[in-house]
Amino acid sequence: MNSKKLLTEWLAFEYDADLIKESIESNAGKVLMKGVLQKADTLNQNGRIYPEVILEREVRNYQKFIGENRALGELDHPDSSVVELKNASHIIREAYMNDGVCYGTVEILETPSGKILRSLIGSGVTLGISSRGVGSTRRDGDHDVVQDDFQLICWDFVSEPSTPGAFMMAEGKDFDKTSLRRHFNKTDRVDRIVNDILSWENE
Amino acid sequence: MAKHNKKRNVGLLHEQLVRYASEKLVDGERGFAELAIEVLQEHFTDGSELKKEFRLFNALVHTSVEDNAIARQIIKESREACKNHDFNQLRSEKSQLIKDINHKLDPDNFYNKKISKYRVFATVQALLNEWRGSRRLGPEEVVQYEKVLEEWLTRKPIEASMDKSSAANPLALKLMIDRFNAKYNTVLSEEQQSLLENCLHDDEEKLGNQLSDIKTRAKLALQRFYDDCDNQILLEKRDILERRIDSLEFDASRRSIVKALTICELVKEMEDEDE
Repeated sequence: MNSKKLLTEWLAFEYDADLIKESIESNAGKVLMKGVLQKADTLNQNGRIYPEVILEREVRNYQKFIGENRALGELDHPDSSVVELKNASHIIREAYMNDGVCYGTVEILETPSGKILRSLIGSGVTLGISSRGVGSTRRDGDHDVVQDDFQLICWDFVSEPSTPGAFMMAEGKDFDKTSLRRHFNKTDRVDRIVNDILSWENE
Repeated sequence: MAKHNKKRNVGLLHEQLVRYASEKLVDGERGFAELAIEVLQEHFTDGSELKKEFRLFNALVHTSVEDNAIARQIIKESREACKNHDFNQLRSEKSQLIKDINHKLDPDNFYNKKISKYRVFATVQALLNEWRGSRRLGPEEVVQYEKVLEEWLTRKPIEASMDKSSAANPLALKLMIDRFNAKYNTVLSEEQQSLLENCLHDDEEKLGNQLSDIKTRAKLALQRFYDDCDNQILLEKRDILERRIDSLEFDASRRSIVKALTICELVKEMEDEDE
């Protein structure tokens, strides 16, 4: 059995500075951004593909984090499966799949990292959104396919990598059940299985 | 069936030694397994009369031909080959082997293993003894036994099938299950391992009972979990989850087993107190 490793992906997060201004005005100062968080069945910069069925499942399981206001993300990737509160810069308010693409609404927080992120956005810096998860991959021709054991942890904001795999320094780190339990509590684990059972209706 | 002493049947002795070693290995009694292998290596050495007899025995038991004329020729050649055996030396080597089995191994559990080809083994050994001149069988019996052997040599080969566990070697199946459990025992619960084992054994009654048990246990676990649950997201899913588990109709299909394994996983997580 393959061990679970940290998997991170990068995708340019496109935002419209004017829309952000509008968002601040209409949401009592809150910075809300909408955009593409991740794409399924598409070869990413790390030579990896996320099958749609897996990404869809993870987005479904992530709804609990969104619903409980703890879908936090960090500015830059740590090499951890836990989202550190002190580094949190944003929170995902909405995530959904449409035609193999995961769209989301992100709120920038009034935290130190959030303020840096807000300043970067204000200056029009090119940013990337990067999923952080743990799982195994299987080689298929010239690319790797993410396997069924993948678990999405969060989406982080990162700078544009200079080369494919620029965030790979943290990758390859093995994650066991114990370290994952720091992020997924008992109700999260139960919810994942419950979602799985409820999805049988669609068979 | 051929009259013969099963303790002096070279094929049975070899087969029992191999099975004994395998079973002891599976049971974790490595010492006994190594002793059995030592006995095998010590007695079935190249150049020994025992090895010569075993090779001939093996050829007759495992050969399969389409033509009766070829089968008769094989019997004729084997009869001739027997004349080259040193009967006294063979008897002495076999006695020594039996002595070692009785002293070094566990004789009470050694000779009681069921050998599926016992009748063939007995016939071949009786003929080998006869061809060496033991004169324990009458001429008619020898002819009759040779006819049985000819039929055996011209049998239709049976295609190997693993569709049903009854066709699979139980020992190989046990080894496979033990290996699987050793590898996945940190991932799968005992219940899940036992479910997969029952699937492999194709024991429909046992499997049916277990699946029904799993459903009952899941309902109880759900009740207990929700009694203490204050998570709004999970509470919202309670009714539909209960209905879903209640309406589950398990059968022996692969999809059904996957569902049962998932239900086991749910029970495991709900009952997990290590938070």
